[in-house]
Amino acid sequence: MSAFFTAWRRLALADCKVKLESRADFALIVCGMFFTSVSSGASLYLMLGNAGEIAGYNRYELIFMQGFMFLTYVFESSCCNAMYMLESWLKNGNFVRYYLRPIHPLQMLLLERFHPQGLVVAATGLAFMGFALAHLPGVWSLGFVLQLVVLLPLASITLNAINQMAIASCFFFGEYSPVFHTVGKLTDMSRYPFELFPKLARQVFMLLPLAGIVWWPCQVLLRQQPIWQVAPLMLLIASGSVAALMWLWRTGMQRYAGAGG
Amino acid sequence: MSATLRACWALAVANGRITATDRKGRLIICLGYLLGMWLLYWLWQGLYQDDPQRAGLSFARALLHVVTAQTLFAIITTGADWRLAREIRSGEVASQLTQPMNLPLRHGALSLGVAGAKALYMLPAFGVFLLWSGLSLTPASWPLALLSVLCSFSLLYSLGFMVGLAGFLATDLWGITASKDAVVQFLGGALIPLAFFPPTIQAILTWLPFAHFFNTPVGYLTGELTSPQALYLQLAWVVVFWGLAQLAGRWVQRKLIVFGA
Amino acid sequence: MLIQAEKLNRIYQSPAAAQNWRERLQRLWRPQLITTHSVQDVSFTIAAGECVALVGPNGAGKSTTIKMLTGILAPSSGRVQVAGFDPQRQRREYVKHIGVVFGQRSQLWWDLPVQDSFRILQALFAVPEAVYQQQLTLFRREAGLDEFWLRPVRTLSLGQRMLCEIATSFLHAPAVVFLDEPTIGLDLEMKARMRGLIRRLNQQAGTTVLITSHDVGDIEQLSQRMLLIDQGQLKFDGSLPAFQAHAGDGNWWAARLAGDLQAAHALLAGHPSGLAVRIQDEWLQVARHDSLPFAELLQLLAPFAIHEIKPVAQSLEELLHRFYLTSKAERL
Repeated sequence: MSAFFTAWRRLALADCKVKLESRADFALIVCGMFFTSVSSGASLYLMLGNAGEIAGYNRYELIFMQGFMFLTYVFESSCCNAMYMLESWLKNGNFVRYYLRPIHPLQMLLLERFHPQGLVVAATGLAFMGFALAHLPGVWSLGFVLQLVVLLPLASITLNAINQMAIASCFFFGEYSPVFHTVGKLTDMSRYPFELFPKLARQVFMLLPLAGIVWWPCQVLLRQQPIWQVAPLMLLIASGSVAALMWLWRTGMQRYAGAGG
Repeated sequence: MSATLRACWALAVANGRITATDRKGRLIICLGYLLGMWLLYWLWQGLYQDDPQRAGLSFARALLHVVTAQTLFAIITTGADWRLAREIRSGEVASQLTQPMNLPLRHGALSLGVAGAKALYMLPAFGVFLLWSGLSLTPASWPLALLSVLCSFSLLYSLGFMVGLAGFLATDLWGITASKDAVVQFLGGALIPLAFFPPTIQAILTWLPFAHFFNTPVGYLTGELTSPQALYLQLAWVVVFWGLAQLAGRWVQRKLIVFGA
Repeated sequence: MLIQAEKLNRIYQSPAAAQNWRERLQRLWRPQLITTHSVQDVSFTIAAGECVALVGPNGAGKSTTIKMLTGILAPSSGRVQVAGFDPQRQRREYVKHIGVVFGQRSQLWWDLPVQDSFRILQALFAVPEAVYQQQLTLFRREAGLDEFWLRPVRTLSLGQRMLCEIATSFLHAPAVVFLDEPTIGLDLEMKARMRGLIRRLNQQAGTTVLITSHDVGDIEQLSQRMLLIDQGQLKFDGSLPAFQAHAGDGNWWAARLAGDLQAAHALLAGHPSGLAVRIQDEWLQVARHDSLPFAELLQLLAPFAIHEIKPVAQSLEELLHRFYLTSKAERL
């Protein structure tokens, strides 16, 4: 494991240096994050209009949920950016290197690229959350911070595992975009309160398990649901998602080797 | 001229066929699209639960606007930016200068093929959703509406072509393409109808090209717009954008001749 | 033995193409599969320090064999053992002991400078700093890495990138290195540099090398032994001279004459030694054998006014080409 972390540190430093050396790259990344986050936040703000409430959640709670969603995305955005290359590596054969490194293939994916855009995502998420918390009296406390520290990594792992599973569909379908875009519709909706959706959709969200991304954590952070009830469930959701992802990669790699002779 | 048109047609048909090849993938995309629209339905219903009129729009009109705009976005977003940037980075763009065809026109034809193929498999899904939700498109004039859709495609394509030139400047394209998509969706009226914006901003967006990406064609398709005035303005922006794309195409050529691929 | 392959087989199944809609619908229910043997009963052993060439025409099964040896593919049946490891089952530990280069595929970090790719690989394969520096000094001297050491990989020419790929495959001082068409697409100078690098790394560090290539120069200059695969089967295993003796038709005398070529051909064909005689372009060729000493040959051909006479031996390329063609003809 220490070899992996040494390698990862070297990669992260080298990649940051390279990205920062290209000013155009860095500026465009910052612009990309700024515009995507501002447009999604502003859409929500304008959509709510004067009423400012949806399914019993007020404007600031909804903005908090958006901010939480951004924060869950930080790990994927900075460490797993190479997952979008998987399809082309499978097609051009460069994927063979995944069989030739003395580490787990998912660790290998983390070692492909470090993208500083994740830092911009983190700043955006914190800004959204800070803005929301400033208007949500009584939410901020030491207990809140501790709960956030426990729940955020679990939510982050769940989101990443779901997205990576969608990407890994290219092992089986040849391209990832159909499944990834479909899953994207679902994860995109998971930042809204699930009370909005009919019972069937709620059950599907629980099962998939999209509820582990924003809804469950926000039940603890905003609705005083006891953490001892939610954290074990979130742990189960996160570990189940990772196990499913690993199984999918193992099957995919066996399948690719079979087809790639 | 006819030879150029024939070449464009051949390119469009070929690229359309490539886009429509993977039937399994297309089916998943359509199912994902329907799922996304279904979730949007519940989101907007939740928004209208306590207030039957928002921004002067009923639930049905707001939903029709959003789903039509999202469908239009899904169909006429053709990845011209990524394609051009990839060709620039791989040096393939230089080999295209050996073909007797104008670069923006070539990419335009390729994009039209993609849009045509997407329309073929997405419009039936759109029809299914309209049937399920009890909504319908009631344009005052179909020719006017279709012309506006074509203009919207031209605007979006020209913008994509210019954005793709970032392939010369940046190694990472995500930032600029994400900025473009976020801005055209948000300020173009694809995420929420422009009626939800403050009146002054609405007026500014109508005079600028933004409203004409989605709000204008959707207005014609849903029957909100009847007079051709908005279309004249849209056409004027098409001329400007197409001219800029041509200039950009020449710039590419000059850059290639002077600096090499 | 460092590498042991025993009765290796690799089978692929692919759906049979349907001729009409009825068949298409039927196959939805009951798919019909075609079985292809990519590699069939291939057995060989390679000792430590050897440099062996794996050759064969396109689609012969070379890459499949290499993939089975490197643990990328599991054999359908048979057994592989390399450096005491089962490449498939012990993949993660095994790959620390091998280096691999697949022709046009890259193992480097596209956007990072070369030196960072090397540093990451050093950490990944846990190469001690002293060994790393020692290897690096060797690569810098032999491959001239300094020219592009600080440049991002994406800006390197194909030749420069391949030099880096080969250097990285030797970075962790592996016991065996597999090179799948390492000189494909390179110019003459780059090929010479690449071959020099491989040869020195093979000889100096005693690393075992298994190389596949369509370039006869690679085979002749690098390997002492050749494994020839065709249609998934091992057709030859031995040294290059042994192959020349096995596949070639011996050595010949070639003479260019001023006189009648056909008459000279008829004269030699009638010689009691019964040696093979043939005409190729303007050359009259006769098999070299003690039964027709050179002095006698000169005497026989003297009436036809000899312009030039020389010994000829078939090149490896010629021999391989003929071998492939014969094999293809047998298949048809």
